[in-house]
Amino acid sequence: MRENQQPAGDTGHRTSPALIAIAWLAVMLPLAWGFVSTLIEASALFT
Amino acid sequence: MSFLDREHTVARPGYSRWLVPPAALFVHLCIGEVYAFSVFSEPMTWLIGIDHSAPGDWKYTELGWIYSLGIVFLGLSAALFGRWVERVGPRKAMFTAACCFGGGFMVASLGASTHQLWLIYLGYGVLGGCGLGIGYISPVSTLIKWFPDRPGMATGMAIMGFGGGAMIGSPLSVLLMDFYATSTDVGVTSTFLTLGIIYFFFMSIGATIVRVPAEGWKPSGFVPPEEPSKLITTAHVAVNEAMKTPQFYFLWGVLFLNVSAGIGVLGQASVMSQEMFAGGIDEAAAAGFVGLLSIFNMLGRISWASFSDYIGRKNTYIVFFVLGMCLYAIIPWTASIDSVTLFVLSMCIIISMYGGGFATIPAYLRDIFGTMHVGAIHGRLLTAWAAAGIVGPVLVNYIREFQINSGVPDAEAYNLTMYIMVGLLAVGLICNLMMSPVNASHHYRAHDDAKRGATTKAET
Repeated sequence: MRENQQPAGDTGHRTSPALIAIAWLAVMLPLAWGFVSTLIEASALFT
Repeated sequence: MSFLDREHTVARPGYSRWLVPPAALFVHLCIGEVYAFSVFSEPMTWLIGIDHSAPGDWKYTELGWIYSLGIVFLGLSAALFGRWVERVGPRKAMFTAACCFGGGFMVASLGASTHQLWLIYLGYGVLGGCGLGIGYISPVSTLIKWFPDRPGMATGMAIMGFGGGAMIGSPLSVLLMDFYATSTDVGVTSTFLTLGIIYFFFMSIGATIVRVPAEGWKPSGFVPPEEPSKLITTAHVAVNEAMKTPQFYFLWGVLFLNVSAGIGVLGQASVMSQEMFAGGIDEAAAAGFVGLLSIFNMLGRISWASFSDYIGRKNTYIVFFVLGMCLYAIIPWTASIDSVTLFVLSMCIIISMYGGGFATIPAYLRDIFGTMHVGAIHGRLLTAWAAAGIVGPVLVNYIREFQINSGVPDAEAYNLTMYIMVGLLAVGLICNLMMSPVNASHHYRAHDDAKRGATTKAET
């Protein structure tokens, strides 16, 4: 993952990898739940 | 509320751009619920009768307007507020979308509890529709600016969320209605209220974590190609100027024709599959087929848009149109040989390209018009979606009815429609092949603005 480029001398605040992981989990978990629910519904096509 | 202002959203050094796609997904996963609105149709016809439709209960035809109003206001607000979204930045726009979409559900909840349909039209249709339009375009230009190296993948991720939103919205709504249902209440009122709160909360998280890159920012290690492709501009075109170029209208045609072809069969997929394969696909299997299509609709968005970063936007749409024409042309044949597998496979690929068309268009706009007003131009282009939303289903439904009235067997009633879709895609292919770089006379020059300002001052 590339980070925002920092000008020389500016230390800035690096985004915590944990925060990035939490943000991704917060969107991916509901999406995975919806995906699995839909997949179960779709399985009716093959039974 | 200065926290929402653009200047407060400029990323400080060290901010990771990988927080921006989840911020966009927070919004798109919520507004994608609109595709699942049909789960409320049946319970909303029982609000008085509770377990049956009683006199005074709303009819399906009246309820159908809620979704239609939502989509019309999506297109209108995306077109009208595009420039405002560019000016105020993604945070204020996302927060406004959260207020409109979440608030729309709350007004609709009041409408359901007082049995006032106009309040539901106003809440979900008008207010919610504005939330849809503003929310849809708000993260697009920000993502393109954060990912100049992979604009297709970045916008594909957000727009995938819109496709995936229905997958969450549908089971969540059913779950909530089951939870709130009593012997005197179908649970719609409380479900609307709960959804309004949930969607407002999650969309506000997206607004909080989103940032715009500082002026001149580039990802570390990213070197723009010295000789970029002819169809990738380094200049910028202002939104009003873009409307004067033929390229805007060719792209409008590309989106309109690609969406028209997909949206019609998507809306009729359940009935169509059962009629074309009577005995082969029953009602439960047809519901499964619709579910499978929504998965391919979502996956097509991220995969085709990412793929376009490698083969180019024009080539991606050539694939959509040529492959789409071949697949639509073989659909009647799959029915004649009774091959459900081939039919399902063809339809899944078609719908993946329908989703891919939505997800690839922002990057195509960026290639042609630059990044300056890409969100606003995208907003104007979405009117093609609204138009296709009317034309596509009308084509499929009316031609089917005409065929059946003419004595064509049910299983063959869609053949003519499929061949018309091939024709539509052929026109789309021509529009795409006509795409060329924008004439330099349309490019934005900062000194033009300065000159215009000086002239206005002199005149006053």
